[in-house]
Amino acid sequence: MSNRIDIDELLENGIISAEVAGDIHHYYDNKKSNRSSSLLLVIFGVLGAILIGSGVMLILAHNWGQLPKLLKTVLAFIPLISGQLLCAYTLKRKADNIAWRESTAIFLALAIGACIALISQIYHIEGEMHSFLLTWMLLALPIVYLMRSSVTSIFYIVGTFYYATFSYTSKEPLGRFLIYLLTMLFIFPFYYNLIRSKINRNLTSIHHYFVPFSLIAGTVLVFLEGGHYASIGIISLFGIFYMIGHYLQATNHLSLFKNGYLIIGAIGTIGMLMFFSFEWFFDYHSKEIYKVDGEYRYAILAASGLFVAAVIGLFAVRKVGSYYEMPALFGFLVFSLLFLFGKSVPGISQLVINILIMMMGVMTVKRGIDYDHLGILNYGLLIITVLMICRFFDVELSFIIRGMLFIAVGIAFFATNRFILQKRTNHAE
Amino acid sequence: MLQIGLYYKKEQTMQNRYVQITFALMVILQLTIPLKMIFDSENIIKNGDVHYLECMPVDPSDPFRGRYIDLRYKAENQAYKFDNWKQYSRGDILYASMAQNGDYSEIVQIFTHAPQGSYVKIKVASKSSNGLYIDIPLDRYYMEENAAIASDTLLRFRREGKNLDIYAKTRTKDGEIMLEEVFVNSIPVGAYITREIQNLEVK
Repeated sequence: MSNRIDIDELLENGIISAEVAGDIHHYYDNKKSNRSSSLLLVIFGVLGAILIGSGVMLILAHNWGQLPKLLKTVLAFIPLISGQLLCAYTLKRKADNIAWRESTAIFLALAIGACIALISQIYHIEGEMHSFLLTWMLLALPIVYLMRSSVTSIFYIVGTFYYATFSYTSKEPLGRFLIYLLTMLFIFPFYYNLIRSKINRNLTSIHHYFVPFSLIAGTVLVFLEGGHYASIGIISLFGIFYMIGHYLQATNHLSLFKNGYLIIGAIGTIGMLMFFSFEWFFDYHSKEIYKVDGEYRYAILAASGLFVAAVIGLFAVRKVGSYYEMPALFGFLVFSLLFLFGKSVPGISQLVINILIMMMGVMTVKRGIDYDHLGILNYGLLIITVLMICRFFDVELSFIIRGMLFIAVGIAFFATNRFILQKRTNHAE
Repeated sequence: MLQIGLYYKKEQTMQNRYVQITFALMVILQLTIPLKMIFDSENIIKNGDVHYLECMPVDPSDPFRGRYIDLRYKAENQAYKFDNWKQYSRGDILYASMAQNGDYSEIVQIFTHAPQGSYVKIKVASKSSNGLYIDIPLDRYYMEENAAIASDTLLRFRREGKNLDIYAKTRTKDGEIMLEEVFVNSIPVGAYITREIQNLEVK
């Protein structure tokens, strides 16, 4: 931890006494254990709230059929009103207690859905699932801000994503998708404040996975009907996520596994490039005439918008970029240019994509060696290995050459890992 | 950078006036939606036109989903034609005017806009060369724990050739339709099933 390095340096130079240094260490140790214990309280509080709510509903359900309609209606409101009273009490008396805030907030959020669902059952009201979801999430949204509840925020993101899945089967997929984007925009101020104030909290890290996953899955669903230009939009979106992850890592020192944007962006970009590295893709692409009318216009518009946003993003991150990241950051740009202008030269386009992937693999390996990170190193080797395996399917190579290539990569795996471990042993000595 | 939201302004507790007002608005909104659902439903039940719709025998497709009976109506089993019917497809909203014919009500005509008189907003379920098949938005009758038993019992009776007169009492108003009760041989379905189960136990 950087604080400990600074404390040791101050102690060595006689700036602070040993007693003061011990007090500072003790303070940070307590802070860390308080954070873990308060996280446990939050988790158990939320679980408890969900179990209590579910238990109450099950008990009511047992005798539900025999109850008069008026009583059923009154009972349907009890979880909702209880949740509202609990939240009011929390804001009045326990506003600084995270466990209280999170558990009462999620209880109220769930109670809203339960109340609407129960009323629908009592009156046999038919409703579309997507309308129910949208209403539920919009009613739960104020809870996120009032109670400052990260758990409810995650619940909201999951709920709006589920709403977005209905856009695929809708008669107006674009309209429903735009509504989904708007709902995501509503949660953005809270998410932004979360990043600014509590960068290393686990719940913030969960947001870093849920938000990009929701956006990419929602976009893919609506793009499925949008034709092949959608691939530009989707790879650009992965590129944007990679840039965000890269920026967060460089400026806020976010650790790798807490950086959902970096992981999703990197894997998404690599995955798409691997898919497009095959011979059949550019062969097909060179012969196909893509539609640009009707609903494809919206897909092209959206893809173009995402591409432009990604290019702007490149300018924004260039100052914090290292040369290791260059192939990954430019991945979307190279692919998009090849897609648009490389139709007449499919062989060259495919070669460029393969060289780009190889460069990404090699740069990642080098980064792993320089940063002394086995995970990054082996990820780089994995990229090279997967690329090699993919080429076995569409490039005619003799078994001997394939065997030699596998042996070469296998030796690289052993040699590089041993090199890092040896380096660590030498440093320790 | 602009500080967005209530986060960094004043202390976020009930002592903060903005929090109090926002919380009150949130409570009002959260209560309004379900209360409006109740009000609209009660309005249709009290002031809507009564229609008895003949039900087709139920066929429970999901044995684990015992919380409601699937309802299908005789009116959904026939194809309808009207001017320019071919341009409509699955999911499109249309309007069906209804009138009594004997013991039950039936769909008289399909319109593309809300007509005069008693009508229901419906959706196109499918299209064939014979015309459009429609879906009346009353597919479920919630019965909680007895629903699975009810579905199985009614289906079994039908297979055994037992005479079952199944129909739904509905109310319509301004295109909206509400389900009041499902009857089997003029007895509410819940009571009918309970009686049949008791008869079986006695035997």
